[in-house]
Amino acid sequence: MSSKVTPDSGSDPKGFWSWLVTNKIYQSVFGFLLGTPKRQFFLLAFIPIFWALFANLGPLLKMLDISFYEAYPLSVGKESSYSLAAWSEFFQSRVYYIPFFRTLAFSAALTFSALILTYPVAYFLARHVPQNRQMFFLLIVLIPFWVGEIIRTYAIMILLGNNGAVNIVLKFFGLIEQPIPFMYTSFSLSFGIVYLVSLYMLLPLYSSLEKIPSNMNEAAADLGAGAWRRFWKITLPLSKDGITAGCVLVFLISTGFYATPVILGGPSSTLFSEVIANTFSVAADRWPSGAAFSSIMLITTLTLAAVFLKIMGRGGKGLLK
Amino acid sequence: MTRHTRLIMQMIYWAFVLYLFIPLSLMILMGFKDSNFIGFPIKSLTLDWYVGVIQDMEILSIFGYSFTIAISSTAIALVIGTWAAMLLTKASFKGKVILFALITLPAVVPGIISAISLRIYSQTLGIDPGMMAVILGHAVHSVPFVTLVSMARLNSQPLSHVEAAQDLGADKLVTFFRITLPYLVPALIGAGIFCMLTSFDDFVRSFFLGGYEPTLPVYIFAQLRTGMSPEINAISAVVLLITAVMGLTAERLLRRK
Amino acid sequence: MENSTIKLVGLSKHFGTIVAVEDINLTVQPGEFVTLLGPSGCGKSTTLRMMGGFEIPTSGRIYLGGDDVTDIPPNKRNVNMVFQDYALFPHMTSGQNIAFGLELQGKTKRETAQRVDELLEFMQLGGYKDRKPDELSGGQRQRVALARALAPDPRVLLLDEPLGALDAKLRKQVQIELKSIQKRTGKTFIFVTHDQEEALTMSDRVLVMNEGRIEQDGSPKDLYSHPETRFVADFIGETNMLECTVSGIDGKHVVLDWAGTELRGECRSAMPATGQSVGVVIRPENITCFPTKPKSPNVIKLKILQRVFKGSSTTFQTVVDESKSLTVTLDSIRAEKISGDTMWVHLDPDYLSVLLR
Ligand SMILES: Nc1ncnc2c1ncn2[C@@H]1O[C@H](COP(=O)(O)OP(=O)(O)OP(=O)(O)O)[C@@H](O)[C@H]1O
Ligand SMILES: [Mg+2]
Repeated sequence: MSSKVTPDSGSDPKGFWSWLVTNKIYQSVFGFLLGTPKRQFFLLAFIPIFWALFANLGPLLKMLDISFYEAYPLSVGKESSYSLAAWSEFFQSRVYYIPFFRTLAFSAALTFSALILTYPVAYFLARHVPQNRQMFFLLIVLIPFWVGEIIRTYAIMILLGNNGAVNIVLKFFGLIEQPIPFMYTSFSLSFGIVYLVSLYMLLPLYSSLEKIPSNMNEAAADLGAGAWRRFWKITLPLSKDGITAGCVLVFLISTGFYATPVILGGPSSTLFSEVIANTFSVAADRWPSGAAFSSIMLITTLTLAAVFLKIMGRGGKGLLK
Repeated sequence: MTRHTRLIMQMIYWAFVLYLFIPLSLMILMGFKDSNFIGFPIKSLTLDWYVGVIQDMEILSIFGYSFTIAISSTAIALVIGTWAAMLLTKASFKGKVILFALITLPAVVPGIISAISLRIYSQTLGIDPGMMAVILGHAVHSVPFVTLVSMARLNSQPLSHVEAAQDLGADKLVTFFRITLPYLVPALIGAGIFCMLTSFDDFVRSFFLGGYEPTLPVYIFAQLRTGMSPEINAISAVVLLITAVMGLTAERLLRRK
Repeated sequence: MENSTIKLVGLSKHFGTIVAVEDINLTVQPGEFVTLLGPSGCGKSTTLRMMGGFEIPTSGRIYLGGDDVTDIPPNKRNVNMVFQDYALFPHMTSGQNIAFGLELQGKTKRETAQRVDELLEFMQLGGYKDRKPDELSGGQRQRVALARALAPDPRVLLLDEPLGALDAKLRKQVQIELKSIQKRTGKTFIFVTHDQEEALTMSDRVLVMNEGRIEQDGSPKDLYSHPETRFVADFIGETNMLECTVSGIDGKHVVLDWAGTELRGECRSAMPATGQSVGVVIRPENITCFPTKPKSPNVIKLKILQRVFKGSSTTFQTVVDESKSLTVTLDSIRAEKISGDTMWVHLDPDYLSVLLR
């Protein structure tokens, strides 16, 4: 059964793809580029590898490089020379290392708070809400998180200010005479950051809890395990992956906030991101110090995250087959 | 017993919802306040602040600037992210795990460090602070997300679809554009909207990489430093509306089978 | 060679240490319906995929109409495949799916449209041109997949268990349809299945595969009545396997000793040596039976243990003595004439195949 189409002298245009594959230029160019598996691989790999090196690794390596400079940006006519000054500066002043350790401790504490806060919510969503309505319940808590860092930080200001909602309510019930100065303290800062990051804890928790087959709990209940025992022995271990992912994510994100500590924090709660940013202010312009501080922080946080992942026994990435 | 815990859980959930929504609702409410002063009590309401925002050419142009950056950085992220996902799912080669780690690296670099390193990098490349630098910074941040979403989608594509296309005479390029890309499209639209949201909301990269022209969050930040005003509330509320609509759309597209 | 459509010479495929296909030789004539039959994991799909260009053979050559195509990628091979899951492109309509291969041949819009309509009509899919695959039934999808693969007019059509996804009833119907489509188009079909009944119903020629090798290559009738190996005898249909010793050769027949009973059987391959242990098979329905002792060789008396009525046929479980049993199937009409608990049977030497392997 072959097609019985007679060649037609009239206009019988080709579709786009017919035209393309019979086009001489396309044939010669892509015939060559796709000609061998090696060339196909090159075509596929060139851009991603370039991006990974140029856009992802490049900035971090350059930052490391600059951290060893005497001065940067270079003033006209000056040669760059290498020095360890920027790195040693970190260890020489409390003004630098105290905020650094404060940031680590602070982020760890906030990560834990976010875990405690969102675990019951995730548990409720995954285990108590009927399957067909989970999406709806999830969307409700998702919406506020699409609003950016700045706007949500601002919302916290309105909530906690001296004339903010909390103080007004407390005053209304006669619980306080004078407004409580929540703002510009570690409290307002913690409140704000937990408010910003809790979604990054909630989602991994939810997806790991949702995967636990519900008959697992029923089986344990049949065996006479009490509610708490079931939770400790079954639910918690099975949601370990979600806890691990959520904690790493939240920890890394909370160390990286800049605007929130500037807006909500006070002098006693200066975080390391502010210290880093100050080295780039017009007045200071000590880029090598900023680069060195950033490098110290990056190396520390990534190492901590890696160690944590290792302890929790989670390394492989499921997406790579 | 179970009913009891269920009830407590439900209360915790709704308390969490309140915790999330109260600050934002207060913020929207303050935008209607007929006074320059942010705080309670609210004596009378007005629409002036909202009307002001919509009429203010400066703010509208900032919106436009933010959108331009969001769209450009998202376009770059979609191309690179899809490309990387194709490489990571369709080819097998030495060092794949390393490349995967490198491609997704920006997802785990804390915001401030990402911003600072990009600031230094663009300086050494001779890119002055400004739109180009911000677009690059946002694209760097978005690529891992697009890559992960695309990889998940590509892993679920039946191999036989690709083989069938080749069997019928399609080369690798035609197969990609006619079979694989259409399969990816819903995921890419969803991912794209999220990238736009991230870019639109981003402060730290825009702040350090931006020039004199601010993006919306940078503008709000600058305003905040000089004091609160209902005008900021109105701008924020408008942004909130836009992001909620975009987010819901993306969510729909990403979950669609 | 020029007369063949596809020819495999010493084809092997190893995945690391796994031997998927080993030394396959096959020459297919134009218009033949050839089936690869075998249990799961025996290498059927791998063989088919090598013909399609999706796997590169570890060794051996593939010729298509005389040309060596071993190293030609699938998109440049004039061979098309129907996949087990059909692999219809979900975002395209039936019409667009069928047009896909035509467009890539550089056909004009009009040529493409004409050929698509022709095929839709041929497959009785007239009203379904603008439906997406998920708006079609299983059988319709199967036909669209077939039309899509036929559209570019390939030399050979490869089908990898294309009926696997259909339910039993539809499957029977589609088997007949598929066979008639093959007849009408005159195309060479190479079909893969693990269902022996399907293979026997549809094929001109069946290759039984086991552990990557071809066990037997022949017509369905041949395979059924004259299996050459124990594997084939076992795999296809129900059978009696008699463990015998060769006691000599008598003309074209082999004289056998079945634990004390003398039988004559035929051997299609090289004659066995005297004293060799061999398996001998005969199908239950190739055994003829008599109420009283007939006058011919290869006759034995059986003791009936059980009779099972199966509608048109009746099956008897019988024994010769405590070490030897036989299953016999008779037309129910003939079976009624057998009363009592013994019967005489004749094992026709032409149906008593001696297996060396
Ligand atoms: N890509 C591969 N990598 C490693 N081993 C493979 C691969 N493909 C097939 N095999 C192995 O080769 C052997 C033959 O596989 P093949 O798919 O050809 O079997 P099949 O006869 O089609 O079986 P089925 O009826 O189950 O489809 C099997 O042992 C299988 O595990
Ligand atoms: Mg198979």
